[in-house]
Amino acid sequence: MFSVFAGFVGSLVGLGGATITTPMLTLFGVPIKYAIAASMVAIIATSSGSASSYVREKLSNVRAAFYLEIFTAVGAIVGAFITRVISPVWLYFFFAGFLLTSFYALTNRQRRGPAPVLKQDKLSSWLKLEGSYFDKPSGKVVNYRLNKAALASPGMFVAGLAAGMLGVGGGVFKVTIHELVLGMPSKVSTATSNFIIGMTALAGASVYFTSGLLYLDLAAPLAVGTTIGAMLGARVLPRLANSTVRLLFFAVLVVVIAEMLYKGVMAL
Amino acid sequence: MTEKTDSSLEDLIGWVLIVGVVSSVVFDVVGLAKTGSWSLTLSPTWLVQSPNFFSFIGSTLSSLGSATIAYNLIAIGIILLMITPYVRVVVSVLYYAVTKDFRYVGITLLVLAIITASLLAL
Repeated sequence: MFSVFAGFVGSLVGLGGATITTPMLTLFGVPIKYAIAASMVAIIATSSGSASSYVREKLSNVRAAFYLEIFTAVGAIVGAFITRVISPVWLYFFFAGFLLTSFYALTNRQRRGPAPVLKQDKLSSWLKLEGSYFDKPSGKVVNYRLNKAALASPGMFVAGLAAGMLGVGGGVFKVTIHELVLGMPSKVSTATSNFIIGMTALAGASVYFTSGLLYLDLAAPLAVGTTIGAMLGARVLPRLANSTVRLLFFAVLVVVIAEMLYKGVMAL
Repeated sequence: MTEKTDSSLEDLIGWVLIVGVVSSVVFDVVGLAKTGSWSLTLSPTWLVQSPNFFSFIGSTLSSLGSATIAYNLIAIGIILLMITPYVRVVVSVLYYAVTKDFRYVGITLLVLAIITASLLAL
């Protein structure tokens, strides 16, 4: 039941469900590596669910997604291998660090989005990284082009690495790279990130699958709960005041960061 | 109008994703209901101990008769879930091959190769 809550809160504050489920599972005494492995599988459900509607609305840029997936997938595989071998104590601190950087990136995300790309570099144009989407508020079709595809690849590798290590989607990192490096419009960025996360999570999950860390009875309720929670969250979000959402966001982050740090210090 | 060329691929992928997730969640919900408990147990029967993902599919299917209904349903739910992004890459490779977009045949094949190798635990 609590995974429904986690998916719900996660989608309200703009974090993936796993950022909340993993700290909560460890609070209930589940060893962190099992929590990470189960969350990694559960993320496939939430991201694929939301990606399916984004893709049909033509908001995701699938070409950019396929290109960037090469790097996040490799990153996630490497990350999951690291988690498999390192002492669990480190994972608490890495998790807290990840939450802190997410917090920083989310609070500093620019509302207006990046400036349009006027001239593409060679790789970006070879990859045909461009697209258009229908912007509902303005009622206009927005055309856009992306740039600096080569520069985005190491960034996506790192995002994948963090995702694979911690069993999270790492959407905040991906969105930041999409906007700051590629020059992707905000809506496309979120939609494309959701699409990529499915593959990143599968890559990480493939490693946990064979590591003797994956409990089906942990992954299944997480997948069901966070998916249902995320759907509920998407319904409720438009009705909440911005100040309520922001307060909830701070409260949730403070609690989970404190919890992970406490667990880490106690495990030292 | 290059930007609209992938429109039918996007529709196709959208369907693959939604069918995969919904069927997986349905299997998992029924399976969890059959276990009769929604609490965490972490018993060894639920631990995945296959050498790779594809052999897990094989062993799940071959032990359908001997395992509990709850286990079968949940295992199938997880397989459906994990296979969903896999299928969407396969579909994309085929789509780009049919539309003769060989750059993207290459890119999607590379993604497919990475993920297949990892699922096979090579």
